[in-house]
Amino acid sequence: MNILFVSKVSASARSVFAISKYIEVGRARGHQVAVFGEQTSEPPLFPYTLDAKAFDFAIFVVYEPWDFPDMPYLAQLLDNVPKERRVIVDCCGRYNDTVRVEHDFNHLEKMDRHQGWEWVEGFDAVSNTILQPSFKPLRGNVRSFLWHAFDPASVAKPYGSAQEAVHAWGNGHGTGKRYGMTYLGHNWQRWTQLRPLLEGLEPLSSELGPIALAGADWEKRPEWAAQLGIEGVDVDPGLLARLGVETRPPLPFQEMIGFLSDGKLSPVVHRPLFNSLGLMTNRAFATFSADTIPLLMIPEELIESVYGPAARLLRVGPDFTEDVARILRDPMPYWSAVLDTRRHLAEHHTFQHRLQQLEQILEGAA
Amino acid sequence: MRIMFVYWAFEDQGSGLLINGYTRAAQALGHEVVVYGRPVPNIPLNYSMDVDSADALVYIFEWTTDLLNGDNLDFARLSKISRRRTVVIDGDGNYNDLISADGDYNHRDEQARDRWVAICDGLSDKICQPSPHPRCDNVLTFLFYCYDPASELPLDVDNKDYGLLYVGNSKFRWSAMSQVLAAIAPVRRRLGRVGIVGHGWDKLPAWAEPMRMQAAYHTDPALLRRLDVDLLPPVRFNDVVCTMNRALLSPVLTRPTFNQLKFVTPRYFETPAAGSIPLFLIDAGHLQEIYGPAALELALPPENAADKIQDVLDRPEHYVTVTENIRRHLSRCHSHEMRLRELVRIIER
Repeated sequence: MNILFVSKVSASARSVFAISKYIEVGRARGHQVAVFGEQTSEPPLFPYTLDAKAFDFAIFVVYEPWDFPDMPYLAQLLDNVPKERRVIVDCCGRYNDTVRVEHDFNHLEKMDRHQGWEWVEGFDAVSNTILQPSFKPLRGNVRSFLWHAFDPASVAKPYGSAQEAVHAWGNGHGTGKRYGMTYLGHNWQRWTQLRPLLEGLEPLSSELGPIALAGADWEKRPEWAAQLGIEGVDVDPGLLARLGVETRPPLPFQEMIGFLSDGKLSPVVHRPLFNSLGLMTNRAFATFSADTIPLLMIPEELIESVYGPAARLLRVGPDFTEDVARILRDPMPYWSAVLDTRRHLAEHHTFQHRLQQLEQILEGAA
Repeated sequence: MRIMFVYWAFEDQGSGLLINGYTRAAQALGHEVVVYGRPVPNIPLNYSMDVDSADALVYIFEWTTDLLNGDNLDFARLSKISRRRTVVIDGDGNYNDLISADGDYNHRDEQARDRWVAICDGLSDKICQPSPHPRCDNVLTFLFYCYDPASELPLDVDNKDYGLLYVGNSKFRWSAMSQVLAAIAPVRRRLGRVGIVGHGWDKLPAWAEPMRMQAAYHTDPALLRRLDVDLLPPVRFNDVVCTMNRALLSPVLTRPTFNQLKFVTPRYFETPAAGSIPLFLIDAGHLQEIYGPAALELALPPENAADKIQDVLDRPEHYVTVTENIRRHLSRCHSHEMRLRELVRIIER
């Protein structure tokens, strides 16, 4: 099977990690897999092609309008791959009526000028097969396909036991780590959740150690957000300064697991919209590959259905101070939960599993 | 038939007036013409976002193939209309090999040319140019720009504010404008006030530098001052004809490449509708082909051009008659209704 991924690839955002893994796993399964576009020497070094005719299926991975290719490539692609052989992975729940949760939306007309129905029409124009990385898509004609997955080969330190993990983590107290907590992700619709977490960690700062946030717009609310009246990029520089939080620019995806592994703890936080729609993200899986204890801040039902029962222990909040203090005092059960969860993910949620599901969907679609 | 135009409209340049003419003509013929997009308050066109209701799509590409306030999601939505029912109008002659004339050019390089052609080919097999003689074999003639008798103003040549007034931007037009200025210089005093309305005559327009188009807007402001030319701000497209009406003479200039390609432009047809005598700086064969033989009398000759201006000043009534003949020819051969019928035929091919 020849599979062509169509998306605007960025080294530090969206689905770059997943696409890299689908290429790798697809090839291992004997498929020809490439990304639609002109070959570039810029990283990430994916196999690109404009020869859409040579592919059986085009998988559009859509977050933003620009994930549809620029002209003339979009027209050429639509001409050369019949509609029944095109699939859209709707990573942000665009293919829904407009949903607002707090100040998060699936359609933000202020930013991209598109109303909700335009997204729905646009998707309908391109494909009859719409997938969302959620167990429970809202629309009847959308299929569940989690898209993101766990890569056991990416696990930074594949410990054999919780004792070994705790020991390596820092002689039982995480003191071997550069940071107490690391978070990698852009400041987009995360602050309402990260703020109480950071405030909860303040009493533990000496025990925990420094905190680092990597991604766009953590230093301050950007000008464009103020101009457009967008609240989803809020941040409190005073709080970050008081806590000594180190902010860093976005990192390329190859550095993701290494950076997360620099922290004793790393939160898994989803946008309010994603929590509401049950949408999964890359970080929800990749954090389990890092040498860190994930702090799960996503809905409880999603935790159990994706990660398995052991992961319930890793859920934190609303009393973050107490929850994190407990982990720092006695990390053993938490590391045990991490290792159990890794096993669960390796059994049920690898990119190999996903690709098999995708193959079935594609065969059904065609 | 509901025809949806896709067009990057401007308030004070381009084809807005023409498109409104199509909208009216469509109503008269039982069709409908809409412009893709949400209403833009200062650009009054008949907008619609309802792609599903469109029977055909007509992309009007002039300086860009991008969408005004649109992006790739819009292109995805527009792809619902099949390429068989899609037409591309290549208004600036960019669907050609590289051409240049007198500093004017259609593309900076082959890469830009290839991209333009690929976009047009990607959208449709029906590529049209507003020229009776397209250079590419696969390009159809569709003059697109047309004459609207309803916008005609009385040809009353007395009591004009200006002896000569040009309405248009300076983009690649300095060479033609220099000819006009050379022609009027000997009769400058007799002509009365002279003016130019539009962007880029006294200084570069704001977009010239970021678009690396400084050379396209080259002018000689010192000469304009010496000849006491009033430089006036651009006007909205709805006011173009009545602005030209303020003058006895209205030159019809074109870009050098357009002249070479024998293209027509909106101003070709708007100028004779103003109550003003048009003065043509267009290739003679092309002039006759579009306006009929009468128009040759209003061509500004390369030699002794001032004599022509002098003659218009001496015998304005004669040139009013010539202009009336031109109007009749344009009404007969280049109306919106004729164009629209032709466009429907092209769509249905």
